[in-house]
Amino acid sequence: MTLWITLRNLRVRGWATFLTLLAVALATATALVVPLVSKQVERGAADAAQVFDLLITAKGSPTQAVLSSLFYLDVPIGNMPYAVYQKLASDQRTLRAVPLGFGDNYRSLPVVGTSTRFFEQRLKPDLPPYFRVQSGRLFGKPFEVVVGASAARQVGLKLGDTFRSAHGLEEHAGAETEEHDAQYTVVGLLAATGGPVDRAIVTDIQSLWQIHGQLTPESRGVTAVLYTASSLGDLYSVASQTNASPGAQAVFPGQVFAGVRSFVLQGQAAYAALSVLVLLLAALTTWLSVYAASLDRARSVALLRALGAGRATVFGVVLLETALTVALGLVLGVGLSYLVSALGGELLGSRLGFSLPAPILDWALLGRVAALFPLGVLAALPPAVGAARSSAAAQL
Amino acid sequence: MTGRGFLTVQGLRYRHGADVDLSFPDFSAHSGEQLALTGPSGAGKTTLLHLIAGLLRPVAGAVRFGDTLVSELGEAQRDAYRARSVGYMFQDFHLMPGYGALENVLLGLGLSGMRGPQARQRAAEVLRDLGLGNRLHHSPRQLSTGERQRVALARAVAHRPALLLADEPTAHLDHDRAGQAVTLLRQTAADMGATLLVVTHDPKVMGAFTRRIEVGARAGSAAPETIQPDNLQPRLPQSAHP
Ligand SMILES: Nc1ncnc2c1ncn2[C@@H]1O[C@H](COP(=O)(O)OP(=O)(O)O)[C@@H](O)[C@H]1O
Ligand SMILES: [Mg+2]
Repeated sequence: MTLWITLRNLRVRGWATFLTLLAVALATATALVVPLVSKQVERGAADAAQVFDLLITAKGSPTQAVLSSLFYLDVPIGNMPYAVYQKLASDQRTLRAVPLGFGDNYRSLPVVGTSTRFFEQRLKPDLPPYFRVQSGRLFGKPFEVVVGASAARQVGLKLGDTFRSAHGLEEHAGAETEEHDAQYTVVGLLAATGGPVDRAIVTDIQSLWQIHGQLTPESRGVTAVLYTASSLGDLYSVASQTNASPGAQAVFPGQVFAGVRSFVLQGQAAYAALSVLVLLLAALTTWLSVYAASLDRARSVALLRALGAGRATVFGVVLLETALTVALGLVLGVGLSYLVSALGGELLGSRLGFSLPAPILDWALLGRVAALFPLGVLAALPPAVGAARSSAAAQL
Repeated sequence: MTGRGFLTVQGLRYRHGADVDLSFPDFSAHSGEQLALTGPSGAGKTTLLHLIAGLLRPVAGAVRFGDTLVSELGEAQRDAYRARSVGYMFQDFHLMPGYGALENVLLGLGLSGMRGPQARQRAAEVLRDLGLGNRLHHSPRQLSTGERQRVALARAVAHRPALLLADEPTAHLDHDRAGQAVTLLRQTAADMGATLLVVTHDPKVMGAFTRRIEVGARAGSAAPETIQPDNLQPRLPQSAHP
């Protein structure tokens, strides 16, 4: 009988039911998607520092080395002679040495010069390459570029587009930008990773050398080398050898990453704060709609009591009404978070620079959703107790 | 003296706060008897019905219905008594808003313990008997006052209560419909063999009853005021208004 009455009451208060449902669904979706977004951004940042073993740069602050070469958030320490790279590339102990060169930007997006070996980097030897071309192809000669996923969206670059880069690491408002004569052509678009490369324009390092007139090997500079050794032993020997040399230093990116993490994820704090706000708002809406429902419930509760319904029945009705609404809202919220990550992932991607993976319905996720349930039903407890305590005759 | 439908009210007194102190006349009604309860507004007629229905507990006196000493029951027992043995037509009908006519009747039936297809059949049958066969799924808002009144009646009688209480059942009806409604109410109670108490101060309604109890004589007076059938106008106490 309790369920019978409950279902009808939910129908009678259709709008209030719907609004509560919506509030719970939104709160749930927020609670599910926010950590997903944060995790994705953090993973993207962490992964970018894990596709190689050693970061080799000119001598200076390791933090600055990581921030500049991996996250494009600082100015490079300086260039190393091309010979440093050449020597590493031809070393017996080397599995892969990827050169990086900086110095130009296109509308504040960094133009990163490298070699095609950049796209052979992987998180683990048995995993597929980490950076993938989504459409088009890799650059095959100087002045061909592949564009990071969010960079392409941000400035609207498409396959076949051409552009001229400017000197410097970013565009300076007001100042007359010094544009180069050489023209780049977009030949590929990269798949999103959530990491910094999404914001980059990647080209053959030869392009940078040609633009800056570094025509002889002696005049060429390399800003950094992403180094992967053949074995762990080789790794440490290369690292110590590099650090002992006068012109370069070797940085284990993982060791520095912890230190730069907060800096790299700066935007995340504001984003997380905003989500907490949304969550609070949704919780408040849930409580308000539960409370509002309890107000016009007083009369029908009294009526039920007058018709012979016991205190337990009216308590059950009020609690079950909310429990059902909250439960349904939670299910809708889970569905909504899948929808958001499926459809909205693209949209968020263009705003925040990454694409969203669909949430995986694991125990942790179910636990998080399940934790919201008692929270929602708790809102119904005061009105339910009120209903159970109300006198049958008072309202009639 | 006991029996299934035998009602006794004795030395009944109800107090609420400092202002409300009501005493009620003693009376009894045998099974299937039909009584009118009269008295001015504020006299305590509704309170008396609440006491008889076990919605309120008296500070003194007793309500006995059949073998049940209603005034001594615990709350849960009073709930069960109300659900099973009492049919109550509230002054303002108090239909569940948004519930269709059939659902309102099913609600009463369900609380009395009858559910499922059997209950649906019974609810539809009662509504049909009261001329609401084509209004089964109309919500109270879609019904006329007279129709609402009949839905309230259907809900009050569907579970075949032994005691039927009606609080000013004609207050919201025009003159002609009031007459029909009282006839229908009395006929329905008679068909079920239910003891019927009707609160009214409508002379026309009063006239239909051979036994009338006046509520609201001076507090403390225990004399039952049964008015003779030929005396249509109830005697109104001078100081009846609060
Ligand atoms: N629960 C209550 N709270 C406050 N006043 C009450 C309560 N019950 C009854 N009364 C008072 O008792 C008196 C009788 O009320 P009622 O039984 O509704 O009279 P009637 O139905 O005869 O008009 C009124 O003065 C009413 O205000
Ligand atoms: Mg009254």
